[in-house]
Amino acid sequence: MGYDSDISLIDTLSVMAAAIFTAVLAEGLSWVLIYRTEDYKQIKKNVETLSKQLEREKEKVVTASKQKSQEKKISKTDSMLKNTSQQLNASKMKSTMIIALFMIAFMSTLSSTYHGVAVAKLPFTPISMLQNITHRNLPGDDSTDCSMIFIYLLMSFIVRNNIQKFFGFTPRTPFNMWEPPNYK
Amino acid sequence: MASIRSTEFNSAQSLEKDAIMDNLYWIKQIISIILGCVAGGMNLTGFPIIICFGIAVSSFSLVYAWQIMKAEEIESWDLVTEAFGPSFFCFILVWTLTFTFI
Repeated sequence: MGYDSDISLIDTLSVMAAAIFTAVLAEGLSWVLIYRTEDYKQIKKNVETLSKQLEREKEKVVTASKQKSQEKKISKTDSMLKNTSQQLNASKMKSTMIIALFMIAFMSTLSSTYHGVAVAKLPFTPISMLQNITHRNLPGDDSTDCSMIFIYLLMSFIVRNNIQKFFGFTPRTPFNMWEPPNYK
Repeated sequence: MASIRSTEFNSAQSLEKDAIMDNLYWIKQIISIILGCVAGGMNLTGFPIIICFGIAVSSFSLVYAWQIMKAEEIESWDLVTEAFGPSFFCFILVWTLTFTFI
C-alpha cells in the first residue's frame, strides 16, 4: 500500500500535536484540581495500602482450619479496597467532568476543521462498531480511510496514560479492566 | 521480632514487584513502537497481525518477569494485562502511521 498522496503528513502531524497538547493540558488541569489535593493524596495512599494488604493476605498459606477465617479476611479487605477505589473515583468526578467538557468542545472544533479529510490509512478493516469512529465524517465506502478522531483519541489516550504513569498520579491496584478468570 | 522481619520482607518483596511491573510497563511501550514500525514498514495488514502482536507482547512479559527477573511469584494474568491497553493502542497508532507514510 504505502503512502497515499491524498493524505497529508502535515494534517496527521497537526492532529497528533493537538492531541498531545490537549492531553498535557488535561493532565495539568487534573493535577491542579485533583491530584495535588490532600483528600486525593490520602485516598490514593489508602488504596495502595489496602492493595498491598490484600496481596499479602492472598499469598498467605494457612491451615485448613483457618481457611474460612482467611477467606473472610480477604473478602473484607477486598470490599474495603473497592469502597476506597470508588471514593477515589468520586473525588475526581467533578473535575473530570469539567475537563471532559473542554476536551469535547476542542475535539468538535478540530473535527469540523478536518471534516471529510482522511489523515491516515488503516492497515486493517475495522469492525463495523469501530467504523463509527474510524470513518467518521469521511466520504466514500473505503473503511480503511481513517478520520482524525481515531488518531486523536489514540494519541490522547497514550499520552495521558504515560503522563499518569510517569508522575504516579494514579495508584497501582490489583484491579484492572480485565478481571482474571476465577477457576475456583 | 519475627513478625517485624516478616513485614519488612513482605514490603521489600512488594517494592521489587512494583519495580518490575513499572519496568514492564515502559518496556512494553517501547516494544509496541518497534513492532508497529516493523509491521507498517513491511506493509503487513489484517487482524492476524494484531493477534501476533498480542501473543508476542504477552510472551515477552512472561519471559521478562519469570526468566530474566526471576519473579515467579507474579501471576501471569498480572503480567499480561499490565499496560496492555496503552501498549496495544501505541502499536495500532505506530502501525497505522508507518503503513500510511512509508
